[in-house]
Amino acid sequence: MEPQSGPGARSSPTADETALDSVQFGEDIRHLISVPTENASSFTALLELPPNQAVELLHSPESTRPDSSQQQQYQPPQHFNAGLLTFPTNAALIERAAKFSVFAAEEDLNNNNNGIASPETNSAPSNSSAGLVVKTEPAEPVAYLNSSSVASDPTVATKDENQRPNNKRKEREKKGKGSSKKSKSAANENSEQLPYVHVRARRGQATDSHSLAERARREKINARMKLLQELVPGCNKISGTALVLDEIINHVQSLQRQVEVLSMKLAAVNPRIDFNLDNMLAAESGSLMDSNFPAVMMPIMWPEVQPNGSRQQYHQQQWNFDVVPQPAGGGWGREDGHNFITPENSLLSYVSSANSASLNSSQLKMEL
Amino acid sequence: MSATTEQLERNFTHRFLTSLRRINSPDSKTTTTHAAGLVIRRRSLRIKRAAYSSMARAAGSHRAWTRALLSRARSQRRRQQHDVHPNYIPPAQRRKSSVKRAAAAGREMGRAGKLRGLVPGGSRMEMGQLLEETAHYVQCLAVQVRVMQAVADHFSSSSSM
Repeated sequence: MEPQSGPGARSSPTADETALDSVQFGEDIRHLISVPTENASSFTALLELPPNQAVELLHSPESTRPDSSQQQQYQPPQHFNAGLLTFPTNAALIERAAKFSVFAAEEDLNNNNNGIASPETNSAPSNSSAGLVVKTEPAEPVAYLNSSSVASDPTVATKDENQRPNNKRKEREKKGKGSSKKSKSAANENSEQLPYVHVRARRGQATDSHSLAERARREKINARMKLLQELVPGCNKISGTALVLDEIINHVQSLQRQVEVLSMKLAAVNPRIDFNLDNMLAAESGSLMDSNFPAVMMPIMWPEVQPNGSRQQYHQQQWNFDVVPQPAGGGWGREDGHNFITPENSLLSYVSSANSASLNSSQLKMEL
Repeated sequence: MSATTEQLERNFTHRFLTSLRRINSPDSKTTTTHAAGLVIRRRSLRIKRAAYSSMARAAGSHRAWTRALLSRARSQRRRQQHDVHPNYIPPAQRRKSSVKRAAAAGREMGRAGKLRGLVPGGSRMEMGQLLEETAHYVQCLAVQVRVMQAVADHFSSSSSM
């Protein structure tokens, strides 16, 4: 099992290098073919060592490796220097981690722990297996290892219910590990993707896109509910979505009923006051304006009305041009005079000219 | 917020009083041919519709509920223009709408379903949108009630004088 790891790890860069560089092809092949046997033996030797020392050796090959001369000789000139300097360590750790996680039932549990989560591995920079461990949250590696040993052991049939999410997550990570065994870039992508997910989902929350969308939707609904709670009077004290919804429904219903009642009232009252509607209009708009604005503001308000219904405004002006030359024989002339005469409306009369203009139009429609 | 509410109020008042004027104009068929109670009922219905549609127009068309209200009003007007009874619904349409309503009710029979029935166009809305539209609708309804109350008060006071 162990001797195969060396050649397997060495043979993968060969394809890359042949694609990259064809000039030194022969030399590279010769190096790569000649080196692995020695290197593999060195790997087996490394694996025999206690893990801490082995990791140290792997991380500083030039300084502490016994066969550093072979390593130097093995290194090709320039082009894949960087790749191969880091690659042996990665390959060894990934292979070991993957094997231990898969065949944990056969291996010693202590060995398993040391191989995956030794402190040196955690602190190692630019190491893909270290990246895998960092992805899990700080408190997790212990639980993770326990659950892995439990899950990989076929004899243990009963699983703790509390550990089920952990198991799920671990299985996902196992898949990630398998992909990292195949290629280093996949592992890098994995370690880049995960922090983004961690921003959105807190601990213990699901991270798939459906759950995220659902959570966003719920947050949106809660925000709207809060807004509505502020809008509906007497709703602030109530807690609970259902009660708030009840209150909102009641409020809307009562408002609609009020509209109905008021329209009935208006209908019952209307026929008698048909004649002084214009007067009423002026007074109405006047009272509304008066309560809202001081008299100085009124010329400013006038243009505000225009963009709302520019087409209508246009119509009104046209009607105005038509209307003005007409003799004040109709009903509206009398009412207009009434408007100007009444003292409380005289101030507002030109504000309500928009209203009266449109009224003129409707009156003209009536008269024609 | 308050500025937009005032603008809304002004706009609505203008539109509502205009349409009230039109309704009150001596319309031949409503005033002469029917009994008084029926006239009042029809008139109140027309006033109510006018109030709602002028509210929707004043609120602008960027809201779903205003669009739903206006399209409903349009379809009603079309039915009236074709000289059909306003409450008459052609059988095919009726079946379809009842199916739709049943589907909507079956989806959420609880409070949200009730709210869907209250807010115009609410049956087609997703929950978040429904709440948003409800908020706007409630605001507009409050303005509408206030203005109508003022108009009614004015009418009653002037008629009592």
